[in-house]
Amino acid sequence: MAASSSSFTPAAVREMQRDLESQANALSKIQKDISKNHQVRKQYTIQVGENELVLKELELVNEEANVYKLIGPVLVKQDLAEAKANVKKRIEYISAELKRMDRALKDLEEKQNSKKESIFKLQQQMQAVQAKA
Amino acid sequence: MAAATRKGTATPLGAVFSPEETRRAVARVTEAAAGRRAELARLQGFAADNAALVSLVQRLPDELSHEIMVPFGGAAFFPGRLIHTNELLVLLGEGYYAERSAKQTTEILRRRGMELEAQVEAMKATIADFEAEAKFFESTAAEASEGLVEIREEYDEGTEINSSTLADASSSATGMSDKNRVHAQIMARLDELEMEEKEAGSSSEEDGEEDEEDEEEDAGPSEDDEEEGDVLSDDNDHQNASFGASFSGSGRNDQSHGSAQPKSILKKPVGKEILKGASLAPSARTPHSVFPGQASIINSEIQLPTKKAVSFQDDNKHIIGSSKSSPLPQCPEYSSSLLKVSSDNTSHERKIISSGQKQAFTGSIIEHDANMSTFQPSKSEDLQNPAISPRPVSRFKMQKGGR
Repeated sequence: MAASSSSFTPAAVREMQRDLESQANALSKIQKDISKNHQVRKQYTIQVGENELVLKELELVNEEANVYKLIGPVLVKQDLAEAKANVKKRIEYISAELKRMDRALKDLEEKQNSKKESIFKLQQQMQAVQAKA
Repeated sequence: MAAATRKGTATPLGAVFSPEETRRAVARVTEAAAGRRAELARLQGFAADNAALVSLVQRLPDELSHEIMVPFGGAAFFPGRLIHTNELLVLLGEGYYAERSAKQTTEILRRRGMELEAQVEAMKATIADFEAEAKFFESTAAEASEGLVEIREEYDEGTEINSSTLADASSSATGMSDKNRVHAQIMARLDELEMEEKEAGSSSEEDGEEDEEDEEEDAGPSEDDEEEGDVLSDDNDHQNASFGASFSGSGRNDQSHGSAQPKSILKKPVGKEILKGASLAPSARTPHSVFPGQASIINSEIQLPTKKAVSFQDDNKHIIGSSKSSPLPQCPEYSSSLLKVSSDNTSHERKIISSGQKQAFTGSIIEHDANMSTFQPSKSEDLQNPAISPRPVSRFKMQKGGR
């Protein structure tokens, strides 16, 4: 790359352009990943909120009441304690997922920044070469 | 304004924030706001539904059974009855249902309603933020397109204060309060005097006299129970009048000289402290023409000077080795000598004051503590003694401080 950047041959310039393109593609992919991550995170956040609400209500229900769970088209009677435990586990799982997504998001953002920098540098090189040419 | 002398940069706002970019930012923000508004509408729909449901659930247990038309399939109904009107399977979320009575259901629904309301409020706040942002961008775009120019200038504290005080002195019509104006005027005079002093090395006495004048001025109004600032704000031209006032005041204070002295000294360094601290390098020992300004400031900040005052007094005692009373007899002599010096000065008023009062020279002498060291011993003594002599005059200040 260094050799090509210093030379002014059209081949080198074309190569640089191809580099730039590939890097731009990579960047756009990263950005798409980031946006997907955002969406999934949003959904997870909503689910966690809902589960917490359910847990709150279950706490308020007295022991005698019947709790049912909708599995597909079937409404299955459930034990209150069991239901509570299930909901709690669900909350924990989703929170862990959320944390994982956060870390992944951070990684993606870092990668995006570095990609941006490299692309910028490449662009500068190209401009220099084109100016000289 | 003094700012004119300083270099500055004038950049058109359009260059910093190009109008098109700003407009695009505005569009972006409004888009986001629109999205949020849609969400808000949805949430509000939920809230409405919830309210309707609550009212329905409350009506259900009114009857043992309700006659209704039951929907069947896609487009058919058949008459039926709604029984067990108090037993409801409530969806708690995430596919969990609970059997509850009507009252318990309304409780659940109410809690859900509160949650929704909280979300609605949050959404409204976000939308408000977006709108504010959009408005700001819009205004910036308008300004940029109009060709508004952003002017930047360096801020040099020293020159700024000088120029600002001068400007204030020249144009008394500023938005500042009287006190500020007075302060500014005093500062301006102080600066002038400083410059005079620098120009004429031995003009320390003159400066002292100037200070004396200022002190007189301050003494006058303070005695009259007016705000010191008021008197000074009248304008330096009114010095004569104020002098007259201070004149009489000083006469009154003759008796309390002894006690006044320490306080006067206190005040002088204090005022100086304050003023100096504010603008110039604090040289506590040298009671410059700051005194007049000090007078006005001292009242509010008497505590500060105590330290300086003490040291100052020590200096006096140091140098002169005389008690408080001793300066008094010396005053007349020095006042006369000072008179001669004062004659050199522009204001004749000083003469009047100095001649009228034995204690005439107060601050001026003190000013030059630092300079005095460079002077010959005799002269320093003269200077120092007068420094003490001013005590009677400084009594005014003391009075001021007392108030």
